[in-house]
Amino acid sequence: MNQEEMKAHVLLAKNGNTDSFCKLYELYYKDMYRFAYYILGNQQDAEDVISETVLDAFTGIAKLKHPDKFKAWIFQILTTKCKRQMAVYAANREHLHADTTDNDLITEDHPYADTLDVRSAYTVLNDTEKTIISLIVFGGYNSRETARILNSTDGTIRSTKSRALTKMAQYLKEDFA
Amino acid sequence: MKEQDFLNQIEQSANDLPIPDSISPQNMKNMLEDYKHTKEPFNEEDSNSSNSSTSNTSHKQRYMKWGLTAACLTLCVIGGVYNTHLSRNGDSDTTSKPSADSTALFESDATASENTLTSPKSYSDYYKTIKKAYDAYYNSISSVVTDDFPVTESVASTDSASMINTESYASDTTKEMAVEDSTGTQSTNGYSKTNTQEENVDEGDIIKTDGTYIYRMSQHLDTTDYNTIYKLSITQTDNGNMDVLYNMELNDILSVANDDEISFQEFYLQNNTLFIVYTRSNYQKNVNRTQTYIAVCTLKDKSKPKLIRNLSQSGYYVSSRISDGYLYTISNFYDTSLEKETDYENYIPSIDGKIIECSDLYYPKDVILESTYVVTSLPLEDPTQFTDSKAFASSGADTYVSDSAIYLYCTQYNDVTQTKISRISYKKGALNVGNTATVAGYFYDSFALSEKDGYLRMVATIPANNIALLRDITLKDTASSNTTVTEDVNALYILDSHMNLVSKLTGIAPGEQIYSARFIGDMGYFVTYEHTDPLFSVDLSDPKDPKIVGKLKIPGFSNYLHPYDDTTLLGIGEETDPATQEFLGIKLSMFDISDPEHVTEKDKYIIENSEYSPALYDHKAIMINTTDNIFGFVYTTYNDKNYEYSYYFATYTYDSKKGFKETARYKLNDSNEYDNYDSVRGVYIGDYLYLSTNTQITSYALGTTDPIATVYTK
Repeated sequence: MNQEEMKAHVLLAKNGNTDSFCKLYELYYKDMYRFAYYILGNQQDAEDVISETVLDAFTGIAKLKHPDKFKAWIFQILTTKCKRQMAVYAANREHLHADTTDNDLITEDHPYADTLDVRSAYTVLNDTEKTIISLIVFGGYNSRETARILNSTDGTIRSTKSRALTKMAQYLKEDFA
Repeated sequence: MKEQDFLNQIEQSANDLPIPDSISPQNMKNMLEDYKHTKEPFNEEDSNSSNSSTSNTSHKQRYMKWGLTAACLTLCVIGGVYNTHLSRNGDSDTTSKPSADSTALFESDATASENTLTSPKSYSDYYKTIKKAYDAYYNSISSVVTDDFPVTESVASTDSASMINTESYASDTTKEMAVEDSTGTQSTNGYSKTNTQEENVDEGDIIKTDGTYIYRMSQHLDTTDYNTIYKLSITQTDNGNMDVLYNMELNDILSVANDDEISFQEFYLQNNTLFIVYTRSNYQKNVNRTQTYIAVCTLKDKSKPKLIRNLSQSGYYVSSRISDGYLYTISNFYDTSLEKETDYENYIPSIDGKIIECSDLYYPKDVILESTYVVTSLPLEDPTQFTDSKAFASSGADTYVSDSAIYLYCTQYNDVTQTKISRISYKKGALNVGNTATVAGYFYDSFALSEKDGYLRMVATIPANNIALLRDITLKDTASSNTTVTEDVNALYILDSHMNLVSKLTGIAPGEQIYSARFIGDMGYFVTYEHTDPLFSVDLSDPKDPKIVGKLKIPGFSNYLHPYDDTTLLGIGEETDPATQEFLGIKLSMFDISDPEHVTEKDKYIIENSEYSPALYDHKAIMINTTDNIFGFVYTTYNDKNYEYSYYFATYTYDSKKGFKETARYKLNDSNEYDNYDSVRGVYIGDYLYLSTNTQITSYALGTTDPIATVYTK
């Protein structure tokens, strides 16, 4: 989809056209799901926040100023939803721990065991680190844009990113020693 | 660690994650149709807010285009020499290992006179040069294969990364300027100031006070349209009583056009004047143009700050400092386009609306125009126009500013990790683009650098090529057998003002990384960590012959070090179990440094149930005044008995006999409110503490927890 088509779809979506809205959504939904799943570590909750995000985005798209910012905007909504969900987890820790070991993250004889190890290394990150790495990887944002979405600063994002990657590398190193 | 490689690994790990059908576009369309039928009529209300809180995709793609160069280019190779002389032997004594003979770690530009940093003769000349480099790069991109790049044994052969300017270099200026001993204490004015790295170099923040008024920039996410709103408030204080004199949206002061996107960065308070640094983006022909602005507002009438000047420079905001009576601002211009030679503004940065002079524009011989850095100086006494401005082509950078020079450092994660450091000296607003040096390793943050008497002292961590390990993970059938090369080492470098290497110590603490550092006069202290926290002390009094004189091993590590008085050093960090490395809480340490050879941890204090604090990673989040013997910061807690999650601001004092004492603790969140602790700032004026968040300021008498007053700034 080129820039002009995107603009046209945003315009139509602003007028309540669900077809156009979903064409835009189709461009990003896989990354949105991966983003939510990696942060929340739970399929059901990831599906739920995506649904909520779609509803919020659809009802709020009239307020989107710049059509070319659709992606950044919908990720901002999704990030806010994920943070709320993490707050629920924080208030209710057993749930979080039960679920991260319960899901399909770690399976010994899975054909892609190696990539699953990277995924399970995610569990060593704290909520802020998960969010930042996910925005960078799945949102495709640089540290400056990530800072903007998280109301933080460029420097904080970069140092948190480095720290998070170091933690993950450490985890993998120990696992494979 | 090669970050981009690792990030790609993470991305790839998600490829086989099944995407549930429930969120398919078709199912979402059905959901929205159902929604439309239940919820008539469609809301078409138009927002009058001019901000949009996120950045656009076209800009991102352009970033990718240019930004990728950093990941792909392998300019020079300094092979794995640095770990050949290291033999790690359990927990053996590592201080004896440092050797000064490993020549591969530093690329001296001593013989690099041909690698000069050049100013173009004309814009056309500049265009041709960078266009040629750009085309050459993109033609060659397919041949740059990072995966199989051989890590050669030879020492650094090319000097292509270093650059020297053509202007005569004022070599002695730095020495003329006496450098204050940084062990000195802070303000004695009885109110807190922004916690800065260098005593005489002010840093911007989101809150400032002059001892009577509190100036605070807050931001709010408008959850109806996900735009960020910035507000400036000015609050008069009087022994705990408060009066909000001003509380308005930033756009109102700046009178910004509706479609422009404003993003506040930080501000300064000097001479009863606010210097507000912000960026502003607008869209023309689908091109996103971002400029960094400095708004100068007088405060004669506190209830009505008046905008008197609004200066601009091209690019995103990088950093700024106030020193020497001038505001130095650094921005990064990278929305470049070389489509048309005469569209100068598309590839040459502008200063206050005018493209920069050729003579102020610099580029290295191997220019790739990833981005151009712009540095300006603005006199505080008469802030009507910039005194000087320079621009030079360089990769992305972080900043350290001493009281005589600006250092931009940029870590390149190629097969070896190395950091390029450029020096721009300043004096009374005059900027002088100096030399560049490249060293092996990365800096954990700007506290890893320190300049004294013209000598730049730095501590870096050199990661082993753990890339091999990470790559092995993707090789599906290979059990990784070659993982023994993964061992980090650390190094200390001292450069002179020409950026020539004066001395170095390498091979420090194999297997560990630097977590924090602080240079105090002729001494340097840094913390590395693996299972315990060795605090190293280095004697730097002879820059040619630095010596590690002491090493203290204790559990946990410090993320931040602050000179407390002449004989003590405060550490804020994490306590860990030495056996399991389990995190036990945030720790305050007081180190006795009166005998650098035998540093001891005099006292420690572990904050109960604590989990995280912004103080660990952002020195401005710490309120500290060592003269008044007070410090404080915000931290989060988790109580695993009642599953309660909270965050607090606490103030502490230190007594050499009684140790640390928590003087007061303030719970700041209601129920499960989760993510606002980052915005908390504490300042104190006289005997009163003012705790500020994005929405309110509450006052207390220091050491007590009963609120005196609360004002709202939302």
